Amino acid sequence: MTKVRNQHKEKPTGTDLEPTFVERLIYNWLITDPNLNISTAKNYQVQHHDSMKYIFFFGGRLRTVKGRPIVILTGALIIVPAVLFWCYEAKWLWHNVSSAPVIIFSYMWMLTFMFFIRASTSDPGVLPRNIHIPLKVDKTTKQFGPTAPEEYYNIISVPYYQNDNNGRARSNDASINLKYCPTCHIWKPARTSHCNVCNCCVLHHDHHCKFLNNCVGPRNYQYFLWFLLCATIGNVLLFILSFIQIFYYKLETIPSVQRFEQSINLHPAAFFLAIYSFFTMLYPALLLGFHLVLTSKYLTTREYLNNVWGKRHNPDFVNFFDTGSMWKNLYISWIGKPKGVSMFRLIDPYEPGDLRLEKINPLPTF
Amino acid sequence: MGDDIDGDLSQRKSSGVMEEENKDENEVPVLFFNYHEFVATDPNTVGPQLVINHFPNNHSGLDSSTYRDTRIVRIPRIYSTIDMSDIIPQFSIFPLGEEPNAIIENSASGTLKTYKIEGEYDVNFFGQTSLTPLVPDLITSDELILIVTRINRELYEAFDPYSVWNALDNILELITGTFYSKIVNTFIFETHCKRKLAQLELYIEELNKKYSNIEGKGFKIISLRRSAYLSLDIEIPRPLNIDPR
Repeated sequence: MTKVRNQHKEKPTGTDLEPTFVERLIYNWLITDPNLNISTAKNYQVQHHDSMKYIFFFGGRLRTVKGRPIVILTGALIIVPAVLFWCYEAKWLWHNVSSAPVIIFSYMWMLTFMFFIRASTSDPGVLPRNIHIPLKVDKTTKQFGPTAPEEYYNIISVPYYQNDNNGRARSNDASINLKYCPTCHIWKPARTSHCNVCNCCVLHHDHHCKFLNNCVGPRNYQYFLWFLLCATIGNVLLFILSFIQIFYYKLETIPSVQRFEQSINLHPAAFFLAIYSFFTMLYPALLLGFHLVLTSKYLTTREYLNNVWGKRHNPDFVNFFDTGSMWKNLYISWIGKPKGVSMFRLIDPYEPGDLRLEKINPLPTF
Repeated sequence: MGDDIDGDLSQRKSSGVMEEENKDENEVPVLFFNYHEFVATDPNTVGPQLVINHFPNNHSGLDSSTYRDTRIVRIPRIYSTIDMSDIIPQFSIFPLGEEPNAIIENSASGTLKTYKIEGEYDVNFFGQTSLTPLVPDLITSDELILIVTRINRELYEAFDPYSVWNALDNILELITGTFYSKIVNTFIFETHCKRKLAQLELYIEELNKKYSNIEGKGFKIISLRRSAYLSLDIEIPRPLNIDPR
């Protein structure tokens, strides 16, 4: 799967030739940048809004966000130790210890890699635009206006469910705030926010992950969490297995190896992997701990950073979505919440004039 | 433009706008209202304040006759009926136009309130209360509440995180490293949530067959997939000012 850094591709016509089958396959299906507008048959090939940053692969089924392709680095960091393991350590472990560690590590690695692919290339829960336009849109200028009604600039409070999970009544003023997104022209559901990097509203938005080049929202949050968990466990496993290989000379007598330096010379890959896995475990483990705390309180990263952390700490902030029980909160985020459906079907045929894909300017701010 | 009934109208009981912390004994409880609607005046005449509660039909192209001849009434999402309303979309089951914080007309109770055109704005006709052309002209309030309740129930069953089928789908996905959804869900059967939502779409289509063909009074419920579960949109014929005077 190749990824493009910038828009280097030109339209494949200079004369009036039809694009060949191979060109159509590559530009319309394999890698599609909707800004280039080569074909307009399907929804993922069309894009009229300004500065939309998505690139789609395999006919709109996978996506990534334009920018520094750090996700390739993350992918390489995951693949490199696995390749080294299978080339150098696996055979040794299989014969000298048992086949079980190899299988378990391979399974854990497979999970990590597949969750990484899913977390970084699947739809986080992007909402379509222009669903809640309150005034008539002019056909020629594609604007409504001159401005939206004043009510649409306010933050609206609506009541929230009165009982918490144990049936006890919450305070009477349990309410949540709703806002209208001036760029996407929709009333955002609760906990939805507009990601400035991806330039779209994402349901239940957690954060935009630079390492995955994708937002983390309800449709891929579970993959993100389990990716962190499996990465941490996989690294720990790898560290232990490499340790075993390096220090095996202390358990069994091996004629050629009596000292640590000799063992490292005999198994250089294991030594490298031991150090490597130790250091690559640190950041995922840190994130894992952070998200364990967040999910046990049913907070999103965004809400945490806006209301709880450091200088922004707001002592009156109450998270009304908290079910009240730590285990229920964990269950909902880690296991229970269904992925749902995509809010905007990219693989559907494009209907010309579909307002969800038309460019209608963001509302002016005062 | 009709009688001056400003004196009989109540404005919203609570502002609904987030205010600064004024938590004292006289705190006004937050009341629900249809936040899609807003208040406007016709800029060309000195007219009454109108409540704009039907909107252009964004689900059809700007050039189509549907855009010209129909309007959309929106039933908003509500967050006070069930516990997990951030995951499970639920729509308002208050009588449309008579939510707790709606703009109502203080007439004698017991009279059937209907939509009354009082003015023009943005090339369309509106009334002065939160009542819409949908209820009770095209469908009774009770019938609409029944429909919305059924839709809410289907949505609850689809998105419920404590449902066994949803948990099973997720656990299988996790154990197989996402191959469950790649292979089984693509070729054999869909996840529970998707199946339920597909059933919901079929239900809406059935309703549309029943209600859209009534001569002069037909309306159509826009597919929830199309409106991304953000609001329940109902397409109605554009109200025209057939003024008997």
